[in-house]
Formats: sequence, C-alpha cells, structure tokens
Amino acid sequence: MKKPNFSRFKSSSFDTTGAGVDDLVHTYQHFRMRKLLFIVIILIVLVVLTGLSVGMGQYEISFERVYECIWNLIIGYDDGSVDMSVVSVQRLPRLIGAIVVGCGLAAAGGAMQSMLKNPLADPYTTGISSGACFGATLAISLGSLIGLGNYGTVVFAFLFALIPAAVILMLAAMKKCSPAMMILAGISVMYIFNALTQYFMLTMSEQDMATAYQWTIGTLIKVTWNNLPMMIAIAAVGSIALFYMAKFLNAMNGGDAFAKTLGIDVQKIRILVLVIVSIVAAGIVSFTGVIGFIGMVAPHICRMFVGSDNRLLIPSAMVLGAALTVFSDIISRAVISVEVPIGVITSLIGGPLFLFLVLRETKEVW
Amino acid sequence: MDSKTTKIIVIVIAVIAIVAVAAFFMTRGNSGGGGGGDEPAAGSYHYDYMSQYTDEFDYWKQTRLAVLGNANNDTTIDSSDVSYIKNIVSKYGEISYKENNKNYATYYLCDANSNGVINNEDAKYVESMINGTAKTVYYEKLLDGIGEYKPAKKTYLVPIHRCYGRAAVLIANASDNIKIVGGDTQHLEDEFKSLIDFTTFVEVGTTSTVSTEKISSLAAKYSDGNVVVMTGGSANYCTDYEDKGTHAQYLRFISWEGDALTGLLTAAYLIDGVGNSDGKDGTAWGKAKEYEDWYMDYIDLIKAEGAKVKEADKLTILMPYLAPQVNGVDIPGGDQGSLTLRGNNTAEQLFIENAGGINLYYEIGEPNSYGRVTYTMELLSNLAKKNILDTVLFMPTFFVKDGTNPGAQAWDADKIEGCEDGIALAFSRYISSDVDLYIKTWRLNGIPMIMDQIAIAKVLLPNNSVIQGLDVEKIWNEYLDLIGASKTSNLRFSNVFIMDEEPFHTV
Repeated sequence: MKKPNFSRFKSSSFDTTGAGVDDLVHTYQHFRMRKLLFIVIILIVLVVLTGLSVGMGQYEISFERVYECIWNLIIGYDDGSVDMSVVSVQRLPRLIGAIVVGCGLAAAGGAMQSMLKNPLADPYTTGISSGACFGATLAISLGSLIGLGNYGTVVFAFLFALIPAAVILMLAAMKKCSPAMMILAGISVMYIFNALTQYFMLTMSEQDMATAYQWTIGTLIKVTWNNLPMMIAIAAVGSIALFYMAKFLNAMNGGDAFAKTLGIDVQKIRILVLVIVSIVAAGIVSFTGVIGFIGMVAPHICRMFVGSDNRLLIPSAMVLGAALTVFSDIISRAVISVEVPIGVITSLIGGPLFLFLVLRETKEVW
Repeated sequence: MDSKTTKIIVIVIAVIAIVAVAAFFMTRGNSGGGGGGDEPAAGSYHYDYMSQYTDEFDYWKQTRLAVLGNANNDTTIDSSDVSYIKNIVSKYGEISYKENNKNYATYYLCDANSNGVINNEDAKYVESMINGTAKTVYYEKLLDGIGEYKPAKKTYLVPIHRCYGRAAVLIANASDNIKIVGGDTQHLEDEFKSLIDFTTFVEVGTTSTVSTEKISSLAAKYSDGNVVVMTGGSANYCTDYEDKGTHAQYLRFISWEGDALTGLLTAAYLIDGVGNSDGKDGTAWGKAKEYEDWYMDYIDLIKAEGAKVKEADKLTILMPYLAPQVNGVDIPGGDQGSLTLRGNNTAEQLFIENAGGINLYYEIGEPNSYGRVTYTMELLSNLAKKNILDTVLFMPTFFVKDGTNPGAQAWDADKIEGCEDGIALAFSRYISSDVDLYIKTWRLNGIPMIMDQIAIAKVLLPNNSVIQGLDVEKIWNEYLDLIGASKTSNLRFSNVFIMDEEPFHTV
C-alpha cells in the first residue's frame, strides 16, 4: 500500500516517522509523570506533617518519646503516663480525624466542582453546612429533651444536613435540574436554615449560644477514638464511590451533550454524586462542625497540576486536603497558645491562598 | 428518576449506613462514663431519673452542699447525717432507684456511696467521709448527673471562667496545701486577681478554647497532688475533657450565678472538707464556712425584714439587664436588639423573694430554657400603664469593657455613672413618672453577690430603717477582709458599687 504523503504537515504531531512518535510518547509520559510526581510530593508532605503533628503541641514531649508512645499503643501497652495519654488520647485521634476530614471534604469538593462545572462549588454548596448548623443548634437548644445524650448533636446535625440534598433530589424528580438550578436550590435552602438557626440562637442562653457558635466554626477537639471509626467509614466508602464515578465525571466535564453522546445518563449521575457528596459531607460535619475551604481549595490547587481528569484529581485532592487539614490543625493547636477552632485557621489560610491562586492562574483548567 | 437510579442510590446509602453503624456499635464506649458491663456507672442513671421528680434548675435553692452524704441537706457533713440515714433506712427499708422509687429521688443525698441504693452502708460511708478515710466523694454536678472526686493532700486548681475563679481563689487563699496554677483570668474580678501568683500561673484558655495539652502539662508538673479544673457544665465548658486523658480531675458545680454559696461550699468540701467536718481554721473548708456564716447573717436579716411586708404592700419589680439603644439615646455598648429580664432560676429571683418583693417578669412573657425573659420596651410600657409596676432596677451589662466582667470594675462603674441621666431619659419615654427607676452595677460588673442582695433589699424595702441603715461600703470592706484581699486589692468602693440612694423619676 502506498504510504500517505504527510510532507505538507510540518507540525511534529503529524510526523509519522519514528522520531516524531517517540517525541509524542515521551511528551505524554513526561506529562503524566509530572502529575504523578505532584501526588507523590504532596504525599511526602502529608507524611512529614503527620510526623510533626503528633510531635508538636502545648505539652512538651520529645520526638523519641512520642514514637515510643505510639509503639506502646500499637502493641497494646499503657504505661499510664501523662505522655501516653497526650499522644494516644489527645493527639492521635485528632491527627487521624484531620486526615479523614481533609480526604473526605476534598474528594467531595472535587466531585462537586466537576459535576457542577463550577470552581466555587464545595461540599457545602447544596446547603449541607446550614442544615447541619441548624440541626446542631436545635440539639443544643433542646438539650436533654431529645434524650440522645452526647450523640444528640451529631445525630441532629447529620439528619438536618441531608435535608437540603433531599430538597434538591425532590426537585430533580419533578423536573430536570441543571447545575445552576441545583446551586440556586441549595442557596435557597441555606437561607431558610440560616434564618431558623439565628432565631434559635436568639432564644438561647449565652452559654448555649457560645456552644452553638463554636460548633458552626468547626473543631477537631471532639474527635475521639469512639467516633473516628464512623467518620472513617463514611469518608472511606464515600470517597471510594466518588472515585468509581470519576470516569463519568470526566465525561461530564465535556458538557452534558458530550456526555450524553457517550451514553451517560447525566441526570442520574448528577443525582448519585449529589447523594454521595451529601452523605460524606454530612457525616463529617456532624462530628466536627463546618470546616471550610478544604473542599474548595484542595481540588482547585490539584486541578492546576494534574488537570481535570478525576481519576487523578480526586485522589490527589484527597491527599492535599488531608495535608492542608493536618497543617491547619498544627497551627490551631500547637502554634497558638490557646485552642483555636480549626475552622478559623482553614479560613484564614484558605482565603488568601485561594485569592493568590486565582490571581496567578494563567491557564484554563476547566 | 427511574427505578434503576433509585436502586443505586438506595444501595449506596445502605452500604454507607451499614458500615457506619457497624463501626459505631463496635467501638462506642459506655455513654454514662465509668465502668463497663451491664451495670450503669455510679450516678449515670442520676440525671435521667432525677429529672422525673426534681426541677434541675431549682436544686440549688434546696441544696447548698451538693455532696452525696449530706443526708439532711444542711451545709455540713457530720454525725447528724449518719443518724439521718439510719432513720430513713429504718423507716422505709432499703431504697433502690431501680424500682423507680420516688423515695430515692427524695432522699438521694443519702446515697453517699452512689451505688443506687440507700442503706446502712451509706451511713458507714458518711463516717468514712467524716474521719477522712473515704477515697472517693460523690457530688451532684451541674446538670451532668453525679460526679466523683478523689481528695488528695495537695490540690492545684485551674478555674475556668469567672464564677469558678472566685471560689477557687477564696479556697486557695485559705490553705497552704492549695494553690492556683492556671486558669482563665479573662473573666476574674480585680480583687481576686490581686490574690493570684501570676509568676507560675498558666493561662489555659477560656470556655471553649481551653487547651487540653496545657492541662496535661500542669498535671505532669504537679504530679504530687490533684490538678483540679473547676468549671461548669460539660455542654458549655471543657466538653468531655474527662475523656481526654489529661490526668486532671474536673469539678463541675454551680457557679455563683445561682447562689453565692452552693458552688463554693461544694467545691471547698470536696477539696478540703473530707476528714475536716468542723472546718478548722487555716483550711479552705473552714474559710468557706466562715464566708457562709458572714453571708447568711445578712441574708437572714433581709429575710426577716422582708417577711414583715404584708402581701398588699409588696413592691413589684422588673430587673432588665440588657438593653438596646433606645430612641436614639446613646447607651454606650447597648447594641443588643432584645432586652432580657433576670428572674426564675437566677440569684436575683431569690434576692427579690428574700426582700419581700414580687418579680413581674412572668407578666411580661414566658422564660426561655435558661429562665430569662426577652421583652421589648413596649411590653414594659404596657405593664407600667396597668399600674402594677412599682420599680425598674436596670443593671447595664453592656457597659462592661470587653464583654461580661473582665475585671475592669472601675471602668464599668465610671461609664455607668456617666450615663445614668441618658438611661433615665431613655426609659422615661416608656414608663410613667410614678415608677421608680434605679440604675446600678451588679455582679456582671464585678460586685459581690451580697451587695447585689442588699441593693435589691434597699429598693424593695424603702421604709425599713434596718435595711436602709445597712452600710454597703462597710460590707464591701468586710468582704475584702474575708477573702484576704483588703491589703492586696487597690479597688475602692466607689469603683465598684454604683446606685443612687434616690430613684430616678421620669418626667
């Protein structure tokens, strides 16, 4: 068969000789390696931060002694010392909680941004945070009347966090929902819950109001070994489910029409992602309160380095989200002399960081 | 949505829910705290059970020494409590909470060993408290059920928030074996701050920002005794810190908001009263008893005079303590949108009752869960118009320097004194001229509670020469002497107590 004459095409992309193809392959491999390198680097950063987090705090304890305590914990030996208690009861649950929160919120945020094609989307876009805040405020206001003891706030926050998502699902059942419609519906529900929350806060005692307000800011201090497994379960299952949805989200990145040509039921996928994100975010926020910015900033940063392929974006966002949360926890706990809620720190760090990224952004990543 | 989508969604939710619930049941501890097994931990049943029979917000009216073993509900633990328990047991037999016996709720203070059963073992336990051999003492925590305290020879206190700081300083100043090593000084009056050694003091944060690691550091440093965090209910203060492995004990007791003595007596007994029922001099329990005697002398005097007032002659009163800017009148710091009255479960209600007055807050509206009534100036006007309101005693809270009572009493007093005319003018638009308006500092501006009581008595008993003859400045000096701050504090009476002898009459 006669070889086609491509001589009029000067671009090396159309160079069908071996050298041109090798260049293309090499370029692609380099492109892919860069992305993987980014993930490896932030994984290393996470490991370093993890080591620092467990060793730093207001309680002075040497690094050797910290890891001795961790080893004792692993082998099931408790020497009864204050060192052991600080490491095993105070620091380790918080550290693991920070990783879980960061992973879960970042995965949820990345999925939301891809699904809604909106860089401002985060796990709370559908009004989850306002629903959770209202649920927690209601639980604090009712106190012992709800009869759920220490779990009252958690249960109420979780249940009410799902209501906004349920509202959007009902809307979707009644008519086809575009991403903009979902966001607007979420905002509407957010206003309703915010108003109800403010009303309850006005009728509370000062102490209850302070408790409710602190809950809204977000804190890791309530994370204990008892509630960690549930948080891990929700975040892990949800993140795996979102990762499974990655290829669908990739198709939807090209637009609804494009995705439909690939045979994807866009509406169905959108609803499914919304449900999973809602459960993950509600599950986390019901234990920690509203920890902002992680779900928005982490995927956004990762998108600049790994692109919009959700198969890489979601895992990398999870690692970066975990690193950011651990870093914020170190600041909130170990650098400042009092216990500052982590939600304050994530906002203080995330806000300027996000602004910097927006101003520096030179390429289109959407 | 088609059925396949619905199925997928349901499956995803179910998987997450099953895994989460499984994780929850595999790892949850006992919700009541304490030991494991089928039997509830000591006192874990207390709150749910007791709430069937007692109004938790009234308990401090009934019980000042909220320690189990104070069987006869007075303010000491001695042989009379042993006899009381034996009499109850002989009358009713063994009383167990498990049978939901209402008698248990009535006589719960007899359950000295807090095992849910009142019997002669409790009498023996009280004896061990008296002779100092009891290793654990049980007390009624603020809204959190029954707590445990293990006394030690040395105690290092970490008070969190203002009212606990007052009790802590009084207790620590009375004994060489008790020291304040940390806490939250943001909300502590100047006269108490003058008694703290700040060279070794560690600021641990306040309310919701208390650092668990700093408390752990203190526990490690002062391992020769108890490090005791004195704070309020777990819902609002140091939530679940008992489970944080700080190696400190947490005393959660009623603050001085409800009554000046309950928290002080309970804390002082736990820390320094076991084996010291008589309250020897030089001990914290002894000092607490001395404070009680001084305080109750005045309370009893006021009660006696208040009891002489005939029903028809009782004066009615409202005590607002938060107020907005009113009609453009510049009330410094007064930017709250709603107004709140003191009443119901607060000390002011007791003070009004003691002085033979009637608090009209119920006429305004229903109290919220914390016993406070929110009202508007229009509602106040309605009451004045009906000619049933005699007195308004306004306690400006938002003049305080940086929030509620940071200890800047002099600043508060100065501001309030400078704004009295403006406040009177603001109120004059809403209440008629025959309503007496008083403006005074109160305990959130840092005055001791006894002075609050005396001020209220003077307002409600204007024609009583005994009450009008009480010298408030003399009482302030007695108070400073009693707490040991007369030489250390440079606060003057005029920097603390503001209330004109004559009311403002609106035009």
